[in-house]
Amino acid sequence: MQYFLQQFINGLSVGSIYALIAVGYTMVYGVLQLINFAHGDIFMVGAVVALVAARMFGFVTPGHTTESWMAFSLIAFTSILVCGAMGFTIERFAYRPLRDRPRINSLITAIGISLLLEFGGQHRAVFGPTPQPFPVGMVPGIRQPLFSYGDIYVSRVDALILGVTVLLMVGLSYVVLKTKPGLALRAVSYRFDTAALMGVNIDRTISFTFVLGSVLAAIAGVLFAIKYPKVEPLMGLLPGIKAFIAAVFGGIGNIGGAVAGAMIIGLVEVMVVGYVENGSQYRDAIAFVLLIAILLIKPSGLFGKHVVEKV
Amino acid sequence: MSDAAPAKTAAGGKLLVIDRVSRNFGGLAAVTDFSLQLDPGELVGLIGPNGAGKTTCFNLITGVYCPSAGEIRMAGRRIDGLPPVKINHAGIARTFQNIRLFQNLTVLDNVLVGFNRSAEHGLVRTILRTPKFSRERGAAENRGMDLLRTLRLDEKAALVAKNLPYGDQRRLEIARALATAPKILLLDEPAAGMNPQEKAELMELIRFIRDRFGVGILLIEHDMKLVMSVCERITVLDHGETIAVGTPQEVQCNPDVIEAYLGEPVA
Amino acid sequence: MSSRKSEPDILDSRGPSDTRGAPASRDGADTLRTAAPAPASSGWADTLKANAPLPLAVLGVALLMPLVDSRWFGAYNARIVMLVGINIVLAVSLQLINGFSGQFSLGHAGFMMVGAYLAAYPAREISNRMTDPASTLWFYLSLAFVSAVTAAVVLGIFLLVRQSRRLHEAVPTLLLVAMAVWVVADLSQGSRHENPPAVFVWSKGIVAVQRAFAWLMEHGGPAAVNISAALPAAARAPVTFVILILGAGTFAAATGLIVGLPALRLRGDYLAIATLGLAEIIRILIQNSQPLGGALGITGIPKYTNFAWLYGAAIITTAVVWRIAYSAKGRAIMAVREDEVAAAACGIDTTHHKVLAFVTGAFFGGVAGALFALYERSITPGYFSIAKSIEIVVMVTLGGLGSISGAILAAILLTLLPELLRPIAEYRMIIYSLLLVFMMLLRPQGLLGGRELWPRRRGPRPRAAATQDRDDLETAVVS
Repeated sequence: MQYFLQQFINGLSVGSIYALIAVGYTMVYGVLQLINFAHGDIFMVGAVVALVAARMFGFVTPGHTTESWMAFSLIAFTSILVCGAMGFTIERFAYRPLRDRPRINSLITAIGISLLLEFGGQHRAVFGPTPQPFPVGMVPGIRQPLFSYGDIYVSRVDALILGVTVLLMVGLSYVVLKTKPGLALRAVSYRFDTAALMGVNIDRTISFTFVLGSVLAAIAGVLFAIKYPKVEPLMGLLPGIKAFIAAVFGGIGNIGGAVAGAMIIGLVEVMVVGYVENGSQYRDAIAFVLLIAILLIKPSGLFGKHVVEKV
Repeated sequence: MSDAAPAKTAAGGKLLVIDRVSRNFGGLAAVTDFSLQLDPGELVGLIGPNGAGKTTCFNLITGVYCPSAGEIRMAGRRIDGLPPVKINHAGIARTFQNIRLFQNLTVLDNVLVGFNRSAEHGLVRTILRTPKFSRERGAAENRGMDLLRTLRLDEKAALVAKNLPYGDQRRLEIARALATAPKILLLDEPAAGMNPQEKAELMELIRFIRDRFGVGILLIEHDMKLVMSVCERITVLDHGETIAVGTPQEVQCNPDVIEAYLGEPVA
Repeated sequence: MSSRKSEPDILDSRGPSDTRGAPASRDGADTLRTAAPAPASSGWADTLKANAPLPLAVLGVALLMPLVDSRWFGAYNARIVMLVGINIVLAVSLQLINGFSGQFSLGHAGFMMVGAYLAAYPAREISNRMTDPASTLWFYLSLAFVSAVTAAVVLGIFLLVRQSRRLHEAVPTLLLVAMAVWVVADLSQGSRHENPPAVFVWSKGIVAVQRAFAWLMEHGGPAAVNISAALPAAARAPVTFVILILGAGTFAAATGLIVGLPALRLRGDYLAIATLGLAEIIRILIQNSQPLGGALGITGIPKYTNFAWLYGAAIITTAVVWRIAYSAKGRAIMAVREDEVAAAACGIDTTHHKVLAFVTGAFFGGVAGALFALYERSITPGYFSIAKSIEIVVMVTLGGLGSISGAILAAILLTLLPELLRPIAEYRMIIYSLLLVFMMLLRPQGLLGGRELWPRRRGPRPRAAATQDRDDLETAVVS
């Protein structure tokens, strides 16, 4: 039982990170019907920028790591800024010109941007291909357990991840449900043309969506780097795909569905690794199996609506 | 519901027999007890206010929806519940309210698609390009051009469908439907978006098609002038129910019809 | 030119008479159904015209081979030429699926992988260094038989579950959930229970399949070896090679069927993700399969693919895909792509045509994989990743969706490009990705914009007759 609880918390933590990324995918798909392949790489950029910023601001030197909430918040904030700007720029210059074109073109562009970020990051002038350790120690007291009860050990890392995610989800719901930009986002998701006719500034709304998604991805990147401190340019690949699958699983375009899907995938992944012999070999396949299952049983996703084509 | 049922009843029915068909969507009764009979060479109209269920009836006949109740028979054989492909094979073709052409194919290709099943090209023949394949292809192209010539679209045969003017697109859709060699043709609001000149030409076209090809035509239309002058019989729907059946004269004077359209009883 | 009357006369109500002189029939419907008489030229001339270039092309390729293999050309360049050939086959086969059929498949590397492994394994284990064609054939036949039986059983269970839907909508879902819980519960107790039922069924099933297959191989083996020995020595290797390629392609096609059928219900992006997912599952399955070499792959595959074989296969692939695409079948496939609902209303079996495109594309994808395996001598699962699928999709899109020559052109360019950029190797991939982005921004319709380099035999045939009839019509109207 204790083992189960341990894995459960672990699964929630993994799921939370997927959720933060998945939300970005689902929002962008909702407004543009575009699978933003580059989104997983924004997640990676979040972690990388935080690491680079830590070095640049002198918080991390070969001999010493500054342990302070202020310092940590500073590098996290830098990461958020950079990623938000990046998301905005990518949309503005790579996706917006292709908005009237068939979707495959935007998809290929997204793939191009994704490859650009990955290979650009691998260039030694930027970051280099070898993984580098994230300065986890910057977060005060992160290495101590939050509490332990018998065999259950809840780390502060997981607590941080879960706490931040909950806060962000609450904040996001507020923004999407109760603010004007959020209303515009929902309007554009529902009906592109009509929203434009109703006076919604489409360009601004889409930019807003991208920035919002990128900010969440950046935070996800930092959190992920704290949990698994290996930072490298290709780290966004697998979490990105799994987060996208989570978004599809929960119903693409549905924010709550994306979170639910991400939690489910995170939990199933961890459970299989924890309980099945040789489970870790099949860890990455799980997301795909769940994907195929949902596409066969209910393609519109757990919470998606089946849109019937009117003849 | 007023007025007599069609002359022939189920026993000695016409080619297409729609027998008390209903369709519900959840709690909404889109169509209730719809009956109609059609023989080749007849021109029948289906009218009613928006949302009356006219296109739903078309969709029921062509297999897009399955009836919740009732039967549809073609030459005595039941066709309700069959998928659209099989309905077409049974001899029913249709056009769509929002034109559904194969946008990126040429005009000729759009029509040739309709010939597809009547010359079942085998895969091996296609790959090896046997003599039979060449003959079939030549014959199909001739037939296609003939059909286009008949509908005055032959000069545009090589144009891509999406570049055609609106009126031509409508005619092409009709040509494509005719290419499938139907006995019954369903036209869904063919005059939508046309100016009076084009509508007059369309009226001529519909009559011409009936005379030349001998198909039975069922027509959904909102333009009363067109319907009244072209159709021999008219069925009027309102909220899914049939409120009148008869000749244009009878229907025009029917108080229920007037009420449905104008919303208040005529004294 | 005659003048048009002021009143609408869009059609002469008499109608133009049938152009061949047959009287306009009263029962007009017959006019629609009678086939027009065949054109004057005999069909055989066309067949000859169509098929003659093929052997010539293959001959040309064979003649070029000494040049490619020469010392002057260099082994390095020869390898690039070979990779170009493989990519041509891949791109053209995917063009049928993505371009002509409009089904966005992101999993083509999966078909390539199936083909590669199902050529590599028998080539190394069964063919006795390419000298035993009959045993190789027997391998494929046994495998096909065993797979067919297994597939039938699985399908039977699936249909049973489907039938239960008659009882209640939720039954299949409940059954699946129950099964999943059962399996997981059993697996989790794997260490404690000797033979938990779910694992029992699964592993016994696998063992049964393996045993059946081994039995077939055992009993057919000796006979096959004798048959092979009876063949002339010079013919053994080429025949084995052809059997390997075709067998691998067929199994890839079968995989295409398995992927294509459920994929029918999915549109656009969903299909892309599903194909991506399925390809990854295939890859992970093979990666974890010991008999197939696991993560290290298969090595020691006999090398047999050379320039002539490869480009011969490329020519055949292009010819077949071309002929399917530019025919009535291809027109139907494209119609389904344009508007599925309208196509069905015109009497086109959408399922048949979508699956046809998928299976054919998968077949040639497998052929490419087999050719690749028998050239590279070793294959690893990591090669056939999502990245590879994306590579092929990029080729097809860059060349222009719906253009076979475009796909070939793009395959050549995109294979050569990384090589040309080798001097600035570290910027290679960055430039490649920038190229993608700018291509899409500046020329989204692709290099050839969906057109072909060489003209298709298009256009209505009796051109002269058309003008004549038009004049007849005009005079009829005016008079």
